[in-house]
Amino acid sequence: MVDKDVKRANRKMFRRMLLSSLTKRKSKMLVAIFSILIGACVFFGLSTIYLEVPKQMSKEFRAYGANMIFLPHNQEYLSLEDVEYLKSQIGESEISGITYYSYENVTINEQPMVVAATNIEDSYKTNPYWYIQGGLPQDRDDIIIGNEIAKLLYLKVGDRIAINGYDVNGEKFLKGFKVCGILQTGKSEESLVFVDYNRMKELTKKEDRIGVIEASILRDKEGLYSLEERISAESDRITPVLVKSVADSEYRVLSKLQALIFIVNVIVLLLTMVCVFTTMMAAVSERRKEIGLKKALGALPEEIFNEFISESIVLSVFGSLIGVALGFQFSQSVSLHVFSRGVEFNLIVAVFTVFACVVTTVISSVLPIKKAMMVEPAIVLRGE
Amino acid sequence: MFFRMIKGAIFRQRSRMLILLFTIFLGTTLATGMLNVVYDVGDKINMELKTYGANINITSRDNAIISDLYGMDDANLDRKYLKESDLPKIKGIFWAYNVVDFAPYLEFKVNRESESPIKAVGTWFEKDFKSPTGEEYVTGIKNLKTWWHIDGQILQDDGASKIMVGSNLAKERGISLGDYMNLTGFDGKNHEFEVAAIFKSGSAEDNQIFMSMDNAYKLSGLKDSISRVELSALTTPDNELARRAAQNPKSLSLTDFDTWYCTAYVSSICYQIESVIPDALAKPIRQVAESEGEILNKTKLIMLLITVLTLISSALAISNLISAGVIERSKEIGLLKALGGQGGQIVLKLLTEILAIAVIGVLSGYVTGTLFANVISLVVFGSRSELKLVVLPIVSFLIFIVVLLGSLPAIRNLLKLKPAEVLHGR
Repeated sequence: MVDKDVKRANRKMFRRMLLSSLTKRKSKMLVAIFSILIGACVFFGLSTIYLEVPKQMSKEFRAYGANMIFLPHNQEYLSLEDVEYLKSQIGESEISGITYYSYENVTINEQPMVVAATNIEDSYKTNPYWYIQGGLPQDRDDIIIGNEIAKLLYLKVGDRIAINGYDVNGEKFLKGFKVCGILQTGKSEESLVFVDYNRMKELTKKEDRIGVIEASILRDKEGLYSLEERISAESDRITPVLVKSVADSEYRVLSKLQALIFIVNVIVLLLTMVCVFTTMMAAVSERRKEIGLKKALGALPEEIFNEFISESIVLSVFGSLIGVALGFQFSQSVSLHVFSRGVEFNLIVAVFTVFACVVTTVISSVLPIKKAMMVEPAIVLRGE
Repeated sequence: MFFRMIKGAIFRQRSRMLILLFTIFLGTTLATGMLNVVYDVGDKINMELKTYGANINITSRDNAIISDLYGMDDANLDRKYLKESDLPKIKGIFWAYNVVDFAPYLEFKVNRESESPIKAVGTWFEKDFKSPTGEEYVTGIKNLKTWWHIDGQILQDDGASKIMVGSNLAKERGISLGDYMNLTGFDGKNHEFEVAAIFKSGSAEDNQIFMSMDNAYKLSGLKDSISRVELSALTTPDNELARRAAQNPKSLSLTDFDTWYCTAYVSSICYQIESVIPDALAKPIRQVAESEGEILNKTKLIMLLITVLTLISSALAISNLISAGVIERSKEIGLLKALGGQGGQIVLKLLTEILAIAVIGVLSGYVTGTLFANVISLVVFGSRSELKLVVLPIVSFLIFIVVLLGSLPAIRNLLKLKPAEVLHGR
């Protein structure tokens, strides 16, 4: 009974000592909390960016256009059902753009030309690097022509042209279109005429004759490889082909960037650890007198030790929580600035940050406390 | 006496000063390292982006109208060619240093026995050449097409009877590594070639065969001719001026033209190439050129923001430690006051001490920071980072400001101390 009371009183005293040392020595405690806070803030902020960069940059890399194309296999052409099938296979959320082309030979002003029948808006979404002078089609009679054709036929935006061709029965058709845009890419697309897919189908009266499907997929290199494997194993109608130049290079650049941020993160972590360490060293060693007094009053070494360690745990939990909040603000604003998108709060990283801060603080306090505990009360109290 | 006191303070309170020195040193290291890295992260990432391949396509002006899209061109009729002997001039343009790699292609059709014609390409693999200024360069598709997966041995730029076969073509025609192929040249003569490699590129080249220029001339009869050149250049992201210039360089005012000409925009590099190679039409490949600009800008911005964060954090860490250090010395300052020290003298003494430490910390931190930037550069990008002297004044300025600002509030507090109270022990 008495034992229990003593224990309770002890615990109460412990709490009071902890509280008073945290509140009475405000400026010193602020200094310590501050250094932990900076460490947690930088570490959490950088880790979030480190994890976010591949995700966000990968979206930026889709500016390079399609990273996988699909060709017919065991059949001459692909159909719109194949497009739907691919959409469901890849997953709507991972598609940055998917488009299809069907090629027809036609004549314009008696010159042989190739029409690419496609959904022009989807093509532009898949290939954001397209530079279209003019604009996207407003209705189905608007077409986009390549720069080479514009030069050859002296065409400008707003001009009207007639397309001649033969339908499935060999009968001639003639249709007028308005040029709504001139496409510049620097590549072979510049010698194509882009016409709405359904409009072209009406004119030629042909079944679906899609020659190639292009997709821009938000996946890393391994993800693309496994998708390629899965589709070629599952479908006997479609051959997926990875656009190696795009997929490989994206992986290379992203991994370098990530490595860079990782190294910086490690160095910053080291710096803040040293900072916390030095602050704790200073904070403990100046309290030798206090330790001496406690010893003289009969405190056991482990009691003193426990008190100091609890103090540093309270400090570090407090500091690191504020630090995590600030670090999240930082990564949020970086992401908004650079990518115009927010980031998600990563709980695992947050817990790890707090944990790392507590461990660092405790470790950096153990050494000076141990050293301080060896003082002879008499010597310290007399004033050296 | 002043110096003796400072020397005394620094040497007697060795451990405390060492901690301060160490923090300033670390802060400077980090700041120097990050500034160095951020300074050329653009160039480095730009270099990495070169793995996307060429960003400029050069063809003959007369030939540029309707290209060889979807098998529209038959035979080698009526095509205009550039001259291979003109190519070294590319390395003589104003932005020659920014031209990383290029490779010429001579495209033609060859027949193998009675099969349908095969598209063949003559190119440079790893060619040595001399620029008009006499410098030696090595270029070719070995560096330009880094993503190619090559099974076997990449060819040499000599007349050896060897070819590289695209993987689709090899599968279609049942060709395997080490086979011998009989190809018929323009004059009807048969030439035997060894298949030295089978490559996979993930694009149209997989249906073609590649060979050295010498062999291409032998088979096609087109001496010193090339159909097109792919060129990879380090470029500056386009801005409004570059877009205006790309429409028509002659529409610019004289100063605008000079600015444009002397900036590595993809359009100005194209313009310069067209002016050194007769009849050439150089066009940016927008897929590569445009996307690069986007990604470069984003990367630079990320690194800049990270640098700012690390600078702020090291600044806070340093000033935090300094103020802690100054507060600790209240007793010493009380004594100095009791002995008749004036406020100004005491501040001067404290500041001199801290600044002396800071100078040592900054200098040693600068050296290690530069080394550290080099290590990062080597590990991440595989190339050294250049020494940037401009970082030293920036870093020293920043650190000194931080040190002064960090110590001033604490020092002001100390001056308010009453000697009697401090010396008595509160």
